[in-house]
Amino acid sequence: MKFDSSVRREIGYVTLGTALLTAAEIGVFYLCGYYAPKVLFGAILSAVGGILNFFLLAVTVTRVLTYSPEEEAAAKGLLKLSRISRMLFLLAILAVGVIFFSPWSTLITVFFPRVIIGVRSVAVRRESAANAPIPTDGADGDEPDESENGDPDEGDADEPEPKGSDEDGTDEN
Amino acid sequence: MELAIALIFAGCALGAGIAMIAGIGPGIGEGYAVGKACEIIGRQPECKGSVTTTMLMGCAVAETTGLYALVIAILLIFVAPNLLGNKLISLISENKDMVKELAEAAAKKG
Repeated sequence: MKFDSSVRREIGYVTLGTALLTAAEIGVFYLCGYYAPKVLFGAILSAVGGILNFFLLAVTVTRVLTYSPEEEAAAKGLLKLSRISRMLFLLAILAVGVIFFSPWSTLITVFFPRVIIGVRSVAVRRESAANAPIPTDGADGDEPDESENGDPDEGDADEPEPKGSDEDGTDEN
Repeated sequence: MELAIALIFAGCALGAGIAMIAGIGPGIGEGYAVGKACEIIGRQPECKGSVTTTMLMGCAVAETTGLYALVIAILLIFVAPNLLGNKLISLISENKDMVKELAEAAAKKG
């Protein structure tokens, strides 16, 4: 399956970020005096599980978006199947980590991909806001909020009009 | 003591089951998002790249609550019974005489 370049980039970010955070977590455990091989193995198992979970989500999303709007039910079914199987996979990974390795390092590490995704989603939102097209036709083109609405004069419609204008507009009375 | 331990196990299992109710919400949300994404890509195929990225992020963020529930359920199933059971056993062994008296009083009443 061929991934979109943006999806590949996100997978790379998540993998790299999770690896860095896991290393930092192991360092904190070591500094606190709780380091043991079980802690290391639990963290690695959980990190691999979290990254694989995100990769499988990317595979599912990429495949789901090839469906046409008429096949919406099939797309939803595929996503549901993927979600249930990924949840069972994570359950198995966490159960193995908690029973055979360290529970705390296993359970903390599984949240690291989510932290990276949260940070990335904020960064992507900022990037898209920075790359938004700046209006050139309006006289006051320096207001980004107005350009998002599409009509720079739309904001003026919400402002209260002076009393005299209403009276002038009602010529029938 | 067996009854107390059985109650602890039952409470943990019930709690884990109730925690997993939180897994329903992300499923509904993701299904809705997929429906809308298919609709938009059918209407504007040139937006596929940005829709894919946005949906990937959205699905991952939406799944986080389900993951919280899963972690709580795992804690309740695998970690809590051992902790609570050990604490109960140590508590009973520390106060053996009091437990014996209480058991005798209960037997007399019964």
